[in-house]
Amino acid sequence: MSITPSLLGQLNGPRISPPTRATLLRGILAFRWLVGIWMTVVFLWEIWDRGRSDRVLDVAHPVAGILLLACALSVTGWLTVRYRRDVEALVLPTPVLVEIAVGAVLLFLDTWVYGSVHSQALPTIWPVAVIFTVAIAAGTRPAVATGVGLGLARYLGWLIFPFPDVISPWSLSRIASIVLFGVAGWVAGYLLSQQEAADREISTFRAREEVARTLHDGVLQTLAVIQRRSDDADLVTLARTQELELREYLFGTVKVDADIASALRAAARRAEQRYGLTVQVVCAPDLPPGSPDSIHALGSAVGEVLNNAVKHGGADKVTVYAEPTDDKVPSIFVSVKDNGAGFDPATVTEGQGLRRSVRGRIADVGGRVEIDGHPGRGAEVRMWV
Amino acid sequence: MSFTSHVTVVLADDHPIWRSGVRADLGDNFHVLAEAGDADEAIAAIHRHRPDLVVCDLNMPRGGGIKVAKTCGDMTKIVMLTVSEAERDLLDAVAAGANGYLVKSTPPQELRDALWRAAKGEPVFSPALASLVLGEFRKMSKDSGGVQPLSEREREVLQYVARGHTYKEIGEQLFIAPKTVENHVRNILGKLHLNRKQELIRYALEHGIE
Repeated sequence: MSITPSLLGQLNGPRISPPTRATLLRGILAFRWLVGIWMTVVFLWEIWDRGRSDRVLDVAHPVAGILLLACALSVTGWLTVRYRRDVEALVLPTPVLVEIAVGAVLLFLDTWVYGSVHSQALPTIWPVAVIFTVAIAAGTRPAVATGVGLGLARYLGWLIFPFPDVISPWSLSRIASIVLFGVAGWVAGYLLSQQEAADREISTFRAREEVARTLHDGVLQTLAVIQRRSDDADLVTLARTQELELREYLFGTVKVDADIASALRAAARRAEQRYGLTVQVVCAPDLPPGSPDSIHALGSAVGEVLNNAVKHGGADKVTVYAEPTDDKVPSIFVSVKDNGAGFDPATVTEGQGLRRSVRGRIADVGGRVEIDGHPGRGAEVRMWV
Repeated sequence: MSFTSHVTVVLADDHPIWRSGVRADLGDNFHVLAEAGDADEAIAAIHRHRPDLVVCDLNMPRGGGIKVAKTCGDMTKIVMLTVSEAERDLLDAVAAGANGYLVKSTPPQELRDALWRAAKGEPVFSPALASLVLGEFRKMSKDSGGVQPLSEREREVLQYVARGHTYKEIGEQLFIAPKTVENHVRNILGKLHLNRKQELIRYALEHGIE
């Protein structure tokens, strides 16, 4: 006996949050009481009912049966006392082993007590409580082992104390207890592992929320102060980059190709990092996500327009704007407006980049492009897709 | 901008370091009458001092900028300061009566200019805010009748702002004076404000609130 408690202690149960664990254990305790009352009622009724009729099938050992049930009920009472002191006391090796032992004895002596065919086993489903408890304390495999062990105890009882009637010990109904108790252990273990995964996700999420709140209130504010109050251009750029990275981390790293808004933001981010340009991306709140083709086309076209704004216009500030259009087709309007030198459309010929990367890509997805320039007013490229 | 006149300001933000930073940036043309650390303090200070301008953090304890705009929007010009333009409350603050907003990373010179213009009654609109307002009007016109829609010209102006054009640039392209552009923007804000108010009244009537 001395090695078993330490063995059980070493087993790692699923890591579920203490409140959930306490709730489950409390539930199982209530389950023990309900089933305890039920199995007592069933047994007493059997004794009374059979004694009343003149059938030959009396309960063979009624007094022993009542003593055994009393034993199970006192275990339940003892567990309740322990529970009131500390919930975790329910999952210690000693109570678990005691309960397994009592459950096994009840199942083993079931046929001996009744001595004839009967509808429910002596302890009914009371042993399931300890199978659940093992699942919480030690995980799926020990729970399945406990269930199979308890089923075997009943099966063994059948072999040693055979019924006067004729059911073969090899029939399916005889093996059913082993399977059902085993399955109970497996299901409990599986559900708990799911709970474990959910708990882990929740705690990761909470930690992240907490970090986000703290950083939002503190670090982002500080980075904003630095950007506004420093004359050191390098420091400002550094603070700006850090702010962007932090924001991306905090408010979700969005997949670039998820929708039009994130594709535009990604293009803007790239241009900001490459040229030290300030790009404001403004997307209407009701902007549709767009088809994969249009997302890709708009993302690369806007990237090219931003390159042009820096290279040809010498711009340092650009606004990218996207909104749904009123008419059904085409459905999205995107504009890129810079504060650069602008140009005179009459004298400037379009370069390769503009023709292929912007007009070509947008035309491929059935859209159109307008380019507007005015010396001293910056350039604007408008796209409908 | 004359050197003899100055704008009186109440500064509200729950971070003292931020208040002192903005205070330093405002320079000589602004006179800070009082500072406040939350919405209630700000409202009390506005009632006491009657400033030309309130510079107010969007997120503050006990109600934040929206509460301040709701309570004092008719008494003075309120400009929201915000860390992020993605904040949902932004539109609510403006609809509640704020004159516009600025992001906290606005450089000092730009901040001073914008606040000066705000104090003179010019709405401080950014492309992001214009886009939010456009979206709101699209939503309102879909949801319910009875709202005052934007005129074609107002919608056009607002879209120009959203696309990143300055009032001056918009004026040149629409062949109107920058002042007229500004008036359009102010009217748009007024309609937004009015529609929100009517929405509240309608809600109150429908639910039997006197």
